Amino acid sequence: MKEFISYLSKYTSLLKEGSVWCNSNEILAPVINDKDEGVASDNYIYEFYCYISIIVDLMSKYDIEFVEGTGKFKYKFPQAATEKKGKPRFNALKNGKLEFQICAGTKVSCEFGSEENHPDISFQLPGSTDNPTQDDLIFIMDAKYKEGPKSVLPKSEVYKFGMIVILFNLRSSPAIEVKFTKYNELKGNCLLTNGQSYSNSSDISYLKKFSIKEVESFFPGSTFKVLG
Amino acid sequence: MPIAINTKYVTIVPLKGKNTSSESLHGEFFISSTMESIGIDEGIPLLTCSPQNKDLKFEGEGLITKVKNIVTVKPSKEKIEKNKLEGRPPPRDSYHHYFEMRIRKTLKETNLLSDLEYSIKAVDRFNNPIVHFQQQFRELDEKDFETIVKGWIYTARTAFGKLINSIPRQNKLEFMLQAMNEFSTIDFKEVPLTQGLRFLYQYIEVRILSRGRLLVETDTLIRENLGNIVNSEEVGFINPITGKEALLGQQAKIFTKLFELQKKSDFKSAVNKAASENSALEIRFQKLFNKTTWPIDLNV
Repeated sequence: MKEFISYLSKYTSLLKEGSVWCNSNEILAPVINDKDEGVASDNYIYEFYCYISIIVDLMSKYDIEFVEGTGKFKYKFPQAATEKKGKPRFNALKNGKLEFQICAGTKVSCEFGSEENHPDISFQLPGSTDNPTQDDLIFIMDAKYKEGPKSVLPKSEVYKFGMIVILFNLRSSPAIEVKFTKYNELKGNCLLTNGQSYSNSSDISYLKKFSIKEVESFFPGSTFKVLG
Repeated sequence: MPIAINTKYVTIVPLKGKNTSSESLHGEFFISSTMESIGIDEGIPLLTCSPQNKDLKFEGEGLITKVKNIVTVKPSKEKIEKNKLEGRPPPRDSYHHYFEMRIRKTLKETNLLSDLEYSIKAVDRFNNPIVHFQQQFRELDEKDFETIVKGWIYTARTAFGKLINSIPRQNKLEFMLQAMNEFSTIDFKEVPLTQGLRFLYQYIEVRILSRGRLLVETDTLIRENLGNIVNSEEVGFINPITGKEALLGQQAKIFTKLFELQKKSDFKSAVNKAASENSALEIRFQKLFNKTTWPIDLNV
């Protein structure tokens, strides 16, 4: 019994430490509030996993360079979309020449000023400035974390992503060819999820129309599948 | 009723010539009270305990061997004067109740309050159970007394309590809402604790451990592949609303430790093993805590 109690205490004290960010006292998995989008949810943990997985995949085709952020953003990424200026990012280079930029949580303006739709991950042209517009985009990705691997992406999220791609005018072929390694199928506008896709693999014609892909089971230890 | 004496507040003076064995201790003590009678009779069982770090240790089991004299203590002149100046009624007499006692057994196994808190009915302040014993003495019911003396643990309730009370308050509330929905009741007394425990495992896996896995995996990807271009110790997040910073690597280390522990011995299996080894005790405790709700402390 002594052994069991000591195991229990060790386990629960690690859980206690783990469930709150250790240097900020913010809760790791706050209660999700869909209505108030201003509140940072915990989706950023998954978005960042997707972002880093993609950067690592690009490493075998490009020289990856890290662009430091300024001040406290030096190595720290914003939890929600914010201005590109002063935030860290990665650049992909070939033979010393900048091919494209890969940004996380960057605000991108589009021709409809009132519409604030900021992609979780954006591939931007080499000349893209600190105030990127839709014309600087190559393609975009959004990451949706679902509670439980069997949860299915709702129709509304797939359609919303399709509309964002339309608003950003990203339906035509990408301006630059991005070369992935094991993520080769991810070339293009992707909606990544740890859960299941909304679409059925037998009918993906509307994904083609939107020019988007759904990537399901994108999670450590799972085999992802691309539709679209 | 049996009592527990906290030796932080009560001094037990060994009786001369009566202490021959190291296991048993004959002693004398007094309880200070404003009441003339405190209801401690000869022959009632007792426990001694004392604070240890932030915990409380149960040390000995014995009984009251003699009810002795009562000494009346008059309030001091200063106290009388002070009350007069402050316009308050004059202070009352207090009484020192003297007793003799004998410790028959030293408690060694699972004798900390942190081991026993979810197995004792007298405890409901799980964030700070020691408050229940922060006095000269307190009464305990027979069953609680037996539980402490024997060092018995209610496995399912201890696992449930330690798990739920280790997560943030916000998550506890969310779990309770989901459980109300799952079990179609707002009164958890009606739902067996083992069912609640199964639902809690699921909640913690889905809400917290899955995030932990993402953090560990992301941290590993950075260390193994990007370590030469970023300072992996410094990588993290900033909440643009609150400005608060979080370090990925530090949090990943905690979860790595947790997953290693889990790999060595799975939490559910450890609980099931302990419960099946003590199945008779589990039944005793189930009866005892029959009308009691789940041990969730929302104060923290």
